[in-house]
Amino acid sequence: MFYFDHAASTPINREAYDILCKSLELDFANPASKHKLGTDLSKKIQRAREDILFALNLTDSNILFTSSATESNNHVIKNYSKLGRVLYYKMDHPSVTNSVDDKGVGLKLKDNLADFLDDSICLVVLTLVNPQSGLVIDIESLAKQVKDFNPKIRVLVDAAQAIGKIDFDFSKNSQLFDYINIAGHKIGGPRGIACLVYKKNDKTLAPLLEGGGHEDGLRSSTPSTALILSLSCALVLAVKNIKQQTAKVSLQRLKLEECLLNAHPNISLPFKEQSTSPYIIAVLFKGIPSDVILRHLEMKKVFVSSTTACSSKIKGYNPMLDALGIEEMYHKNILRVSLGFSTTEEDIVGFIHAFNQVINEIKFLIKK
Amino acid sequence: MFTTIIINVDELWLKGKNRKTYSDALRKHVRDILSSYLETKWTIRNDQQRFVCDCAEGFNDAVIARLCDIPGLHSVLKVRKCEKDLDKAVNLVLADLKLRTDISTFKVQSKRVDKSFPTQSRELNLHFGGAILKNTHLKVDVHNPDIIVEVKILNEHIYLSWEKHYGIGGLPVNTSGHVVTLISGGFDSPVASYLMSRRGCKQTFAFFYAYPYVGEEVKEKIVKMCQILAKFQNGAKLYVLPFGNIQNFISTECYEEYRTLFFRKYMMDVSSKLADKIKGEAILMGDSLAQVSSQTLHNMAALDKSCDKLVLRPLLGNNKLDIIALSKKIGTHDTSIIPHDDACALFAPKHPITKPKMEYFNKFMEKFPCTELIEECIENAEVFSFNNRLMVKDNKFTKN
Repeated sequence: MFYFDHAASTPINREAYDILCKSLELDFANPASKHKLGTDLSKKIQRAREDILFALNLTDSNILFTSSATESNNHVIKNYSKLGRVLYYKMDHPSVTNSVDDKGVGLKLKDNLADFLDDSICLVVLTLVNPQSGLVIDIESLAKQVKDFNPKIRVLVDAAQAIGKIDFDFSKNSQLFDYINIAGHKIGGPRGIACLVYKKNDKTLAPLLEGGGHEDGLRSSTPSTALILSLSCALVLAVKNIKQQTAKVSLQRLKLEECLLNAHPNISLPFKEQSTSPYIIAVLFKGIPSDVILRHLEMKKVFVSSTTACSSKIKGYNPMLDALGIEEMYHKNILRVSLGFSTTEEDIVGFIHAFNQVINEIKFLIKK
Repeated sequence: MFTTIIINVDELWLKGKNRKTYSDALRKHVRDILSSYLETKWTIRNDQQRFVCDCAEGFNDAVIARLCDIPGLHSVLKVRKCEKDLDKAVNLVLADLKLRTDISTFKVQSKRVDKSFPTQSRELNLHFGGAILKNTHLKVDVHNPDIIVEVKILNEHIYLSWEKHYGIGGLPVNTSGHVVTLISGGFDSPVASYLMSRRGCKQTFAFFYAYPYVGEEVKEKIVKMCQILAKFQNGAKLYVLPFGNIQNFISTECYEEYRTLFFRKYMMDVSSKLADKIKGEAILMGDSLAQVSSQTLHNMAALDKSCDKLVLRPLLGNNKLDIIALSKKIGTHDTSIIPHDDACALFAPKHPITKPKMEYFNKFMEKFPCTELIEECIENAEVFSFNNRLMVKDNKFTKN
């Protein structure tokens, strides 16, 4: 099997897996319990929180553990929607675009953010690495524009595709970013756990779920010790290995890009000239729907994505691709090939071999 | 809840000595439906060419609705059963009608099946009509009444009913042979299937699955569609036939403009082989004359000349809007409009042939009989079975 859908979900790494299994077996107590078993787990969770903040060099912030990056985005956006309007980009993940209410302001990539700022805006959502195209967005300059206009406007950064994958230092201008969203299963951690980094003095976030008042009253639900410890391990490792991983993946990406461009003249890489994450390649194949390529590759045990996994049911017009500047006639022709920490040389060779075979098999479908 | 229902058989009056065959087939279907829906004891008996069903727990609306889907069934009457005493019968009618504030007019229709009963039909009408007029708010309207109160004097009881549910009529399933029905995701083939169910055809559904050119969601849609069509069958099977390889082969070997025609040709060949396997006599398709280029008279003539089975095309003379209207009526419309990938559109030639050159057509078939690919297609079919509760019973790969 050759897996190239790491941007959707990537395999859990060995260390995170071991911690997960061990903790699932041993850490059965409720971390909110008053007895020693409970308080010990509560301390472990606290340490995990600190480890993550230390790895990100954001020790002045706090962490809210959630079940997914989707939940984290919803948590922030739904809270701010009550206070005013939310500004976001239409090419963001559906957990952003679908949780914004009717008052929200949706921008396209080419839009000038400053033109849309006004007094009614209370939150701006920025995505550091676009999940569909891999584009690295200059969130620093955008956040600066926001804060220059009105420092009271809060900035949420969806960093699900970025943490541990591109070298971005949130601590450098940490006052620009009020919330940072991180997902476990994109960085070699388990699914079902994510975390939201927020400022210690934050007074705006209110809980979505009421109950026992866990997570400083922000999310009532018995915390999953095992998932939290495993996420922390994966994140710390990802951040630690970033340089070495980026170097490896960048080389692999070059090989893939060369193969893709040589496979057929109708193939192009629409974002190649822009700054992109080495982990995501968006491929445009004029004349053949990406779903057809996806399934042909699947038959050869190669797994890619046709649009981001959450929106792949959409047929035809795709608002994410539209916002990225892709013409509507090509919305069904975009394939996403995404690499991960565990991608090997054999994977690359396997992909190249299968891809060339598939293109040979189906090129007759291209209408002249 | 009504504890008795009477089931009227459609078109039985057209039949002669073979009447019992049709009546028995319908009775079997009714029995099968009742067995799968009723959990308590129930009975069915013939009474003057009708079926009378009794169930102490009563027949709920869901069961009645399912009965109305049975081909060959004219109507289901919800009945109050009464001993042969006119006063008691009148009181039963009044008790129910007094509560009906939703209606304002009525008409009485009496039938004296037991000719030894002293009161004649006309007198019965007057007797019941007078009592209703006197004791309820209802007025008589013989032309367009809100309800018709039916009084039937049978051999042992008086049956009273004012709720009649019409079925789809036609002939009972399994009395007109077994056909292989080609199902696609559109409007036409499900409607064609319904029409032939109504004419008593047992059907085995065949779907040509063009994976990897189309995705799993198309298969899910077809399973859903056949679940609806199985309402008009007494249990049915769906063969999902992997067709991607054959399409690939045809596309590389034939002239581009002949692609769609040859896809159909080999679909019919596979269907014919499947018909042999399941002992079917014909192939059923949803073509409407000249609706699309592959449905021209010339193309259909070419295809039928090379097919060894009778091909039924009940929609040939229907307009698209009529077909869509019927699909709404039979409940397939909302499934038909679910968007899905279409392999035909993907392979569609720029200029599809409408008048094939028979020399090329015949030569191609002679050169490429595709016997192995066709066998493979049937052998690797995924088979789904639908029972009378319309549940998918199994969907494992069968190597037959």
